[in-house]
Amino acid sequence: MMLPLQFNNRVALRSCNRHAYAPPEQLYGYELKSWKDRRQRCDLYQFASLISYLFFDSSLNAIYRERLPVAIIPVAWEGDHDSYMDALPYLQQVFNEVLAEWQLLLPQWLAHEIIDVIRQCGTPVFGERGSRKVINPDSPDLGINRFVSQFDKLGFRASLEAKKLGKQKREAAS
Amino acid sequence: MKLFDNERDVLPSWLTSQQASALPELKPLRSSLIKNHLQPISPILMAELEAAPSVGIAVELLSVAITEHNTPAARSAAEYLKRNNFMPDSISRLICQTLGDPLPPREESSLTPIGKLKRLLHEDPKNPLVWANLSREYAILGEKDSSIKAMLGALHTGMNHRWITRIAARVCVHFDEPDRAHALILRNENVRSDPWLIATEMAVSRKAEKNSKLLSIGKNFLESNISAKHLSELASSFATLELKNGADKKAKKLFKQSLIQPNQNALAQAKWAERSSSLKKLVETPAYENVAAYEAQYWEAYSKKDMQNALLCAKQWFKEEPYSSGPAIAISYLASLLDDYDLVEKITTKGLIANPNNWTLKLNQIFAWIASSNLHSPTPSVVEESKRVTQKLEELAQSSDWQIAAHAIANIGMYLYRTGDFASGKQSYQLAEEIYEKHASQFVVVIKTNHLRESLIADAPWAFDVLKEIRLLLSERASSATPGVEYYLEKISHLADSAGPWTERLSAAPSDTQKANADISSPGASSSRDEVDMLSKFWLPASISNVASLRQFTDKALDPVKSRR
Repeated sequence: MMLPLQFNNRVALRSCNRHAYAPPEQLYGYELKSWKDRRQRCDLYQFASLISYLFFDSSLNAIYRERLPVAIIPVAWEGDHDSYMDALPYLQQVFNEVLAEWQLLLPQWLAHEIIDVIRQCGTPVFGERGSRKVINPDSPDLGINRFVSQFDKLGFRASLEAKKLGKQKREAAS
Repeated sequence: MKLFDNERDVLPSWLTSQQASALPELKPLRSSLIKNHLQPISPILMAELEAAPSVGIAVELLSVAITEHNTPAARSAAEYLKRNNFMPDSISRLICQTLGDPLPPREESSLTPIGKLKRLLHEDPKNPLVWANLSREYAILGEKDSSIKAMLGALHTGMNHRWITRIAARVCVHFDEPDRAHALILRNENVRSDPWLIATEMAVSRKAEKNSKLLSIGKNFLESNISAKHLSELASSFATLELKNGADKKAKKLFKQSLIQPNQNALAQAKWAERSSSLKKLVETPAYENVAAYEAQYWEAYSKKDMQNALLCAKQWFKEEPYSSGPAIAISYLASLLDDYDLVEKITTKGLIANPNNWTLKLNQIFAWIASSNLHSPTPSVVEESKRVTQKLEELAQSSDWQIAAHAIANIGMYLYRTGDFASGKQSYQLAEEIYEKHASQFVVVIKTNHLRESLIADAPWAFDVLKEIRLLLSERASSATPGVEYYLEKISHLADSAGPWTERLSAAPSDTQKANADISSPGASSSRDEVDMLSKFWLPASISNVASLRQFTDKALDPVKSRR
């Protein structure tokens, strides 16, 4: 499939080290020792951010920027905080607050699973990112295949829900 | 006298997690050496939106521009989305906020603060801040076991977090379990490498009457090159130790070190040292400029006999620490100096919820009841209540704690005066004075001032003699009670020429004091009037507006006339 240029551009931009997409640990300058943390878990965070953008029109970072107490804003965003570990409880609090709010914005059949994926992939606790079903500190696998299956399942469910909705509309019209 | 907190120590304030976010202890001891080299993306997206406008790009630009603090780009995106009627619930607030439009109302939850926190914990039981906030809410309600349990939850989930460990220790001391507090602090893995934790360990060990195990490590920290803001409490804790050991000169040097970049606790401790020892003028006014230190500001205003301001600061202090008896006692004392018995009653009732066993608050509540009840021609309900009050006072007068006993006896004196038995009232006050003379003679003057008020109201022939005795005591010796007593004498001499009985003259307090009642009735809610008043009274220059917590003051302080409007 041929993607529009603009989309390709943004994908390229997302893959760079940018204020807008970088995960919290990088924004606070936390030193990540393993490739898995630096790359794979960073990618998972951006995956969660992409989901939040598609479903809730807002990136996780924009939420942090808006809701974190001013004193906790990282240096990368012109704040003066540079300790990921000290800021972490505040990041967790904002993250969980917004997930609770977002959950109410989706239909029930979809809400739980989408929020659950964001929770697993976008948690500010970088060491916990990945599918909780396979997560194991020694495993190189973060369980991305499980999210693929989950979205496949949701896609199928969405087509059923769409049919149901169409039927209801037709019945209402007649 | 318990009104004057002789035993203050450098224990951390127990704020909400939101309030605590601005505290220096949430910052690392040494700044991270890794610098971010992140590039802004909003200009690129902005160009893209201009070239080919679409809702998708605008939504992304809005997020990115907010993150990068690019206000013009965020505004362009928000305007585009609004123009195209794309205002879904998830970002409608962001759009309105960016455009400066009125925000859509949030759905108000019918849950109590504890209910809200419990719901958050249901979603995320691993969040230490929610546990800590829950613990604080329980403490405000005086529920010791629940509060401690919740704080243990915070400790468990926020393993080794400095702020969590420090407030956990504070909670245990608050509930009179200093040994447990000491053990908690020592369990933090970083206790030997963190001056904030060492400062608390020292204070807690004093409360637990144990020897601190970290003195030598702490001393090394004081000589290190760590930023002064991180050593403020540690220096203050060492200063307190030296002061208690009688080494005033060393203490002074350490207090000076603690005030280089003080936090609110170090400031309050230095003010405590000023009123409880021979050390004077430790805190200079400019030191306040970086910290919203209500406790210290309360004492500062009180020592200048500016009781209106002292009351405003004490109320702010109470808002920050509604679980603590300290600010409630301070407000009740100030309100009694202002003869605002309604306020004394309200604040003591609130304070007793969190501290049901605090006898100073209980006795101040009884004081307010006696002062505002008509005991000359009592109604049946007053008669009934009188029986309960006198019984309680007689019971407390037998207390093994001399301060409680003397306070209760003074209240009995007041009761007797108000019921017309002036001679017995006088005897009771004299008995209370004798007890104070024996244990803390510098505070006899406070009992005498109360006696003076009652003898004036009773029109007793010895009122002038009591006044003379107070003046003599004031000329002989100053103490932390002096400003309050001098203020009251000035008030009495000012009212001496007014007409009418003394009860009416004293209760005709300046209108400023009356507003306190409404504010105290809802300590959790923010009071814009308070803040505006604070602005006009304090001295925060705009140059420190980069301190987030103070921006509300500095922004408005630029134009005090406007702020008063």
